[in-house]
Amino acid sequence: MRTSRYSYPEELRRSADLVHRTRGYRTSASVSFLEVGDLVEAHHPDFRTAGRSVIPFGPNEGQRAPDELVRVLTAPSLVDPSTVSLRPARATDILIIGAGGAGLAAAITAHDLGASVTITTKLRAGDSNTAMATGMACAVGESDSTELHFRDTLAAGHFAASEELVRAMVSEGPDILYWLEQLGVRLAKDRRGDHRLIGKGGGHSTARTVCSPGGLTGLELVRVLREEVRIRTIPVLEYAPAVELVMGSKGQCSGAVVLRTDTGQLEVISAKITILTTGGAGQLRVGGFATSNHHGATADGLVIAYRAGAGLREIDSVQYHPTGSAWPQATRGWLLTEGIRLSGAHLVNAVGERFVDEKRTRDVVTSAILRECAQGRGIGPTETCFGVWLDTPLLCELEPEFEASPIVHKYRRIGLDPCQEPLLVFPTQHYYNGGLCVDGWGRTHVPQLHAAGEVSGGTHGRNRIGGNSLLEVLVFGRRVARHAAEMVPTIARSPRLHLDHVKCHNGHARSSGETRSPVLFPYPSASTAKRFG
Amino acid sequence: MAETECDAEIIFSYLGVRYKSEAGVTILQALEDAGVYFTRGVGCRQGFCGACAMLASVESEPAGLFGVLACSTIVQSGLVLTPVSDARVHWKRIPDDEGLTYATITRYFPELATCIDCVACSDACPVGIHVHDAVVSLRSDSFEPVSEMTHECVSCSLCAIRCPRSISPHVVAQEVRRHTALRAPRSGRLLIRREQQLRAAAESNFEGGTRDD
Repeated sequence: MRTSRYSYPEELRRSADLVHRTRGYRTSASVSFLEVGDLVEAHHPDFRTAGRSVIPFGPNEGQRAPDELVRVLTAPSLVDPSTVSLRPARATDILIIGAGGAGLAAAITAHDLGASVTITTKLRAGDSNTAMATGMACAVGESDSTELHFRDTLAAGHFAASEELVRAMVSEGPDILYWLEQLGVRLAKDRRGDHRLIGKGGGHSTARTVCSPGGLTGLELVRVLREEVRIRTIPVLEYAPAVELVMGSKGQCSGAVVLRTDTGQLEVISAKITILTTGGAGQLRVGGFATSNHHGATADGLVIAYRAGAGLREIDSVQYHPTGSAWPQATRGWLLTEGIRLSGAHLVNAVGERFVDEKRTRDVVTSAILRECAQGRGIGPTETCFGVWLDTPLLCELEPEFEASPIVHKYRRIGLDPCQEPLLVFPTQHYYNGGLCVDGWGRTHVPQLHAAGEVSGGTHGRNRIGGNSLLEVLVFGRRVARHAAEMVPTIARSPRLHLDHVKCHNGHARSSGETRSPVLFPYPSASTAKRFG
Repeated sequence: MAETECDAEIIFSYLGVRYKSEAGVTILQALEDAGVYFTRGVGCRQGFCGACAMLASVESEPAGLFGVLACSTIVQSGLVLTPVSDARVHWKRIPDDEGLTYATITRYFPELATCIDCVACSDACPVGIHVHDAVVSLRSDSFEPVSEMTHECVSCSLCAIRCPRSISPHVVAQEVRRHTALRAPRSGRLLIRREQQLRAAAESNFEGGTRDD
């Protein structure tokens, strides 16, 4: 056997050996799993009563939400509105805040329709959760249809999604895929040019996930889109997160205050329409879970839009991906993509048994893992359960090409070989199902403030199915930009800009603790406030 | 975790400052544990985006420069690290209607023809792409293998930084991938689905509707 630099310590070693020993039995035996029943209600973190509080003010006043989110929504602003110079440093027709998949797609689309566009982003253009996505759901399979995709999305989301938004998303799938082909995105195809689809994912009634070779779909997409932005010479302000929106004289959004993180300077960008594409909230680590999210996923967009008067929906619904890497510490937060389970890797508990159909939706599989831990069948002591095993050596037997995949390379680089040893996995905060209330054009409650991508809610209900996030960012990035570009000529620039909503917010805000928001980076917020406040 | 080889204290240096770390963590975790507050040079934190690319050497052999991704490399004693994520190179494009041949590529990237086969690019790549093999493959006009070989590229520029001839292999590779993708056979089924969808959209006259708050 290949000697890994990471050998499991004795107690884990014995448990891992059980995975090896039971493999033959597990693959030959046919198992039927008990009906799911109230598994999700009993074990999914969304249904916990601890760690929730009531939002004390603002558009969602009185609703319950996770403490971590309530804290950033209600903390005082990172900026003192009385010291901000409201003279715009620059002006643009459309300001796009965030440069992940939705932001880049929106910028390209609006630019091509003749609007002047500026992108401002906290880190580099393209660094985002989009870059990590493995596939895009699109109804192009032989036996698939957008109607089927529509129903699957609604059902997996427990019918909480907006039918209109889901309809818009799934119907534009083929057009988006066509657009990607026109741009030269490298996709896995058969000889006739038809797309190779990743195996039927949890909640999908047929295989419908289009991918790039090696599952590097998001990376490939971001590389190509970023290049399209670059050749159009669309201005991109990097290291410049928006820390507040600025409002115009009629209560409309008229741009944003951005923070230059290198200098600590604030500047105002005036815009006729502002599109929020800031992504999710994984770095808030709701419920104390690890996260598979990007460094910048700190809910900034939710926070600044809420202050400006935009309401949120499915506010308490977070997606935990069942198979986040749990050991060794160096891999914490890495994601073992759903494709690994779909291709046949078993989840195995401490007694060497499978305990859930691995191909169920993410909320179900996550709940099952948490149940195993809670009932003492997790790996390690019950109180500090490491998680359960993911039998990756089995997958290397079933699909030898898995050995050449990027994720195997990554583990081998740190000294653990997934083809020799099973991996310890535990649910990880993956996606914010909720978000800003929007209509089919991404319009929030605040005039001239639009949103697209993970920051907006309503497209996934209370549980997202795999592949719909890439589809969402591209479809809505483009839809919102089309609408915005159309509206630009009808909008007059506001003669007066103000931050009255921030003053009002700071009046309500709890001054307890040192939290100020948006928190911008995944470090103790006191250190962020000290640095930039 | 009683792992003898990891028990020793690790001392490494980042931007000229020495840091201590526990063993078995990534470079990024070690720096954050030491209190470094990253407002740049970190991205996806799991090896996809290239934002945390660093030029590295080991104190005992300063001549051997190599590339690492701080988020997915275990910290080791004696590492000397310099972040490079904001090194920018000139991006160029080969127009879509140009045929893809080595001759065309060197017309747009003339420096490519001056490669001295020193293999520094391959040594620099933090995700283990055999960059120089890809460059050699271009010379024989075999482009699909280049697309495959370079598909894991995180665009970190380390290959370009190390190239003594100012070649930007990652830029060339991106253009090769794009051109091969543009020439891939198109799915007939996709074209039909798209037609149906566009027709249905035109008939339904969907206006974007309302928010169901």
